[in-house]
Amino acid sequence: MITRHNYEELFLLYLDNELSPADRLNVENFVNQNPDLLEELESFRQCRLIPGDESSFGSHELLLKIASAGRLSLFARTYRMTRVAAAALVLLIAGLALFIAVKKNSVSQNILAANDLPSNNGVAGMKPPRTQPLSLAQQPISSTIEPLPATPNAYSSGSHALSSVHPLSSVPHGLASAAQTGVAVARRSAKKFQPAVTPGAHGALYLATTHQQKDVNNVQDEQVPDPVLTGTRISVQRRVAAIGLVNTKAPERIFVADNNEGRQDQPYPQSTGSSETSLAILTAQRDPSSGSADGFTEQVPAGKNKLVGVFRKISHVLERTTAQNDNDRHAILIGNLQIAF
Amino acid sequence: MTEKDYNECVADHADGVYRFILKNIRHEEDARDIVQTSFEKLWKNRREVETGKCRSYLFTIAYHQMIDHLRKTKKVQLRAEFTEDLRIADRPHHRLKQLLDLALSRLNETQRSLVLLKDYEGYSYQEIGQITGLNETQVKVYLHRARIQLKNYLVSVENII
Repeated sequence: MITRHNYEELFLLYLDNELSPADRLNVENFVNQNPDLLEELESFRQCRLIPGDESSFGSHELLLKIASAGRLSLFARTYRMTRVAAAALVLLIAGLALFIAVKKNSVSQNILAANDLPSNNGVAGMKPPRTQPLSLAQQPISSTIEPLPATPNAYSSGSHALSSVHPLSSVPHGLASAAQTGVAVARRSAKKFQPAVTPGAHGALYLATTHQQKDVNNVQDEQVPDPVLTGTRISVQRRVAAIGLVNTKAPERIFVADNNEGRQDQPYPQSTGSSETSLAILTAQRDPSSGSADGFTEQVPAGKNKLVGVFRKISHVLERTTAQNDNDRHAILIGNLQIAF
Repeated sequence: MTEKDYNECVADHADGVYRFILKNIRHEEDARDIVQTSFEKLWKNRREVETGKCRSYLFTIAYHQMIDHLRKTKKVQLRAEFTEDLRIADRPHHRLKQLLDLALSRLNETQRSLVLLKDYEGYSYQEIGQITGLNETQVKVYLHRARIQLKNYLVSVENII
C-alpha cells in the first residue's frame, strides 16, 4: 500500500523497474491522485545516469590476444625446442667432425709407419714395430699407382670372392686409409700371419708379395716361395668380407681365410709386373645353404656376457651363504637373513 | 566457455566493463589494466564459466579488482578528486550529464558502483547483489541512499542549472 510516508522508496523502485506490474500501476495511480509528488518523481528520474557515454575500451585485439597468446607461447616453446635441437645437432656434427679428424690423423700416422717402416725404428715419436719386420715386407710400397683392370668376381674361394681391385687414387680416401691402416697393423703384428678374423666378419684377405721381380703371370704355384704377407683384412661390412692392399710389384698370391675354411690362397694372375699399390676388396658370396634370409652366414661374436658373470657370482655367493634353518624347516637362512615360507 | 565464446564476450562486454570501471576510478590507464586483468581471469577460468554468465562474471571480477585498486590508491584518488572538483566547478555547467558525473564522483565506492550497474548496465537488484557480494535488501538501501544524494546534489542551490 503506497502512502505519503513510503512513496519515496516506491518511486525509486518504480524508476528502477523493480516493481511488479500491479505495484507499478499503484504507483502511477498514486501519482495521479497526488500531482504535487509528480515533480519529485521527475527529480528522481533526472538522477538516473544517462547511458550515452561512448567511451570504449578501444583495442579489443589486446584482449583477444590472450587467446592467441597461448598459441604464441606454444610456438615460442616449439621454437625454443627447435633451437635446442639445432644446437644439439651442431654439437653432434662438430663432435663427429672432430672424431673423424682425430681418426684421420691417426690413420695418417699409421700410413707413415707403414710406408716408412724400415726407417721408423730410429724416428722419435714413432712407435717401433712390436716384432721384427720380415725382410721382404721391409721393402717400401711404391707410391706409383698404375691402375689395374677391375676384375670383379674373378677370384673365387669358397664362399668368398675377390670382387674388385682398385687403384688407390680411385677409391674413397677413408677406405684407402683404412686399408693402409690395416697394412700397417699387419706389419706390426705380422708374427705368424695367422688369419685373425674378426668375429662377425665373413673372411679375411691377405695379400702376398715377393721381392722377386719376375713376370708373375708365368709363375706357377709351386715356384713361388713362401710369400711375405704385407696386408691384412679390415672387414667391417657385412658383405664386404675384407679389404686390403696389394702391392703389385710382384704379387703372386692372395691369401684368403675365413672362419670356417681356414687359410686358403688364390692366385693373383694379373699383374703388370710394375710396382703398384691397389685396393682389393673381397666380398662374400651368397650361400643359399646358410639359412639366413639373405644367403649370408652371420657369425655371432662369441663375446663374454658380463651380465651372465654377475649372475654367476651372485649365485655362487648365494650357494655359499644359504643354508636351511635347523630349527624351522619352513625357513632358509641367507647369511643372517631368515626367509620363512 | 570456448575460445569463440570468450572472443564474443570480449566484443560484447569489454566496453561496458571499461565504462563501469572508468566511471568509478576516473583513470583510463588503470581502468584498462583492470579490464585486462578481468578478461585474463575470465580466460583462465573459462572452463568453469558458463557462456550465459560471462557478463556478470566479468563485472564481478572487475568490481573486486576495482575495489582492490581503490583501496591501494585511496589517498592519491582523494587528492585527484579534490583537484578535479575545483577544476570542474570553475566551469559553467550547461549539461545535466556533467552534473551527474560530478555528483556521482561524490558517492562512495559502493554507491557509485551500484548506480553504475543499475543505470548503465541495467542489472537487477539481485544481479547487482551477486556482483558486489551484497544481499538484495542492502543493494536496495544503498542504491536508494545514493539516489537521494544525487538528487540532493542536483537540486542544491549551488548546482542549479
